[in-house]
Amino acid sequence: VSPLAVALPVLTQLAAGFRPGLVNYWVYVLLMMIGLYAVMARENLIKKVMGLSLFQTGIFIFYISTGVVAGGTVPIYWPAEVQAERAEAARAALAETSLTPAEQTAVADRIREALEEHDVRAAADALPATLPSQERLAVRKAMAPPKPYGNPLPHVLILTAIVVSVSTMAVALALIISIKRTFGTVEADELLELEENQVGPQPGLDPEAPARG
Amino acid sequence: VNAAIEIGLLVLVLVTALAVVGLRNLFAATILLGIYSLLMALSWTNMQAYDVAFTEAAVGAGISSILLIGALVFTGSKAHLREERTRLHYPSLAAAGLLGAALLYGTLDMPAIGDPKAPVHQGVARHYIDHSYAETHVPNMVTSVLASYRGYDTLFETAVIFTAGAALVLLLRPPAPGTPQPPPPPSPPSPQPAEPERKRTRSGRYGRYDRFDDEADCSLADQVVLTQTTKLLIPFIILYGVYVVTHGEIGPGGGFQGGVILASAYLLYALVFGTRRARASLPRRVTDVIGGLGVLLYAGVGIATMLMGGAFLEYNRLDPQHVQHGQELGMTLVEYGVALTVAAVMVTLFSEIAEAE
Repeated sequence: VSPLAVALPVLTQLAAGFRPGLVNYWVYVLLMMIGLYAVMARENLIKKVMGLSLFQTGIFIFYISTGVVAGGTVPIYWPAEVQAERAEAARAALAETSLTPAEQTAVADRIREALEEHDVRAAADALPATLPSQERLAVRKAMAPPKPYGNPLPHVLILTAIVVSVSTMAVALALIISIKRTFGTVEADELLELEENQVGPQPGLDPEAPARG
Repeated sequence: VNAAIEIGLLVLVLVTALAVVGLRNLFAATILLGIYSLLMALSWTNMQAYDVAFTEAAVGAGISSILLIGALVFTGSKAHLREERTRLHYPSLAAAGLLGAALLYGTLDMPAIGDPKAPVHQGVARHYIDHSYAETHVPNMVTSVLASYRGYDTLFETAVIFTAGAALVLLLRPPAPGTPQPPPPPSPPSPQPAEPERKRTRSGRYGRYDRFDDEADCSLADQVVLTQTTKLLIPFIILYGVYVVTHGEIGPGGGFQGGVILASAYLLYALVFGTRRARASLPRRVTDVIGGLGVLLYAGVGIATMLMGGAFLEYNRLDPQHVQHGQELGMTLVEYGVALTVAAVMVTLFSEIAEAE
């Protein structure tokens, strides 16, 4: 059976399930596999480390992609001017509602205070329960943020992972340098040959004996 | 337009990754890996992750390229040409293909990218977005999650970085003069005889030029424009690093990014003026101590909050009258700790690899 005959139905099945919203996830899988291939198939140890690094960044793309919110922005709170604008927009929208002027001012002030504290939940709760749902929707639309925030959690996980990944790469490089010092090569197959020549055929292993081969 | 840019960047990322794996010239592959990181950083600014893009640009495109070049100088920049190494390796291809197909199949059930109803945006992420300002008064949510909500995690990430620095010192640093030498190990096996057609690496032609060494036959320290520009740049790099560390609460940045930028000032100096002069300006003992001090400062904040009657790293205790002040103070201190450790360890990683004999 040719490998293509096996792969083709699988690939067509996968292609049928593809949606544009999955592009980043597919890129993450492809990057990981490119990295994994380099780790397995390349003999040069530095190349293997590069493959590991590709593998890691593939995972980073996966995490960051999950944090994206459509039409969103960076998870840093809006500056005070933007929040003040939102509070003013809410005040204008409240003027159109059926609330009495005194109630309107009280609610608008509570919204402004909540937005100064960047507390969207409290701003929404400031609207009285008696407000008709259509008017409530109009006010909430008026004070909606210009853009929603992206999800900060994946950013935190990956930010620290990047710095850790360079540290672990440095440890790998240091080990490779030590291997080069000791064995004179950084090609995995040559290292295996060295080991076989030393250990394999000799019954009594003498560490003082010069290696053959 | 945004989606088109994002897809274009991701395609470039994939092409670069393939080229990194395919290239036999490891030096070229290293430079491509730096470009790959830069493309990655660009696509992350497009994915609302400025803090991450910042880190990737400083670490991936900067530090890791320099570390790889440092190692290549030692190991040779060409992967050796052997017939069986140039072919596609079918078992590996099949294994990667199978795993890839399984993972792709798994993605078919995932919510689309950007779907605000996706599970990942509920729960604790919702809490951070709605309440982290009220609880901490720190406008950058990434910083408040990093340093406060997930403070334990970050403490141990910092400890991992410190440990990596210690590992490099143990592996590569020559013993200090005066310490008793262990008996010489059995003579290492002689390397495989070189294949006759194997080309010499280019480092031979320029003598010790590539070893970042000021005693080289052809030194960058002789280049007037380069040295003067470097001298002008370094104070600004340090100033920028300090800015990034201290403003991580307000905007993108923080201890990790700022620490790497601070270290890059040293790296630039060492690359241009040679490791010997750089060492003289910042002795090993100093960076060793600073690397440890950073972790101690971070853990010390935790101990201090315990002594004040709270839990480990419970910053609220630092100012019981005004808990948000306590949070801000605690986060600022641990960010300084992170910056100290990261800066010192990055310098150690570079200099141990660049000075390996």
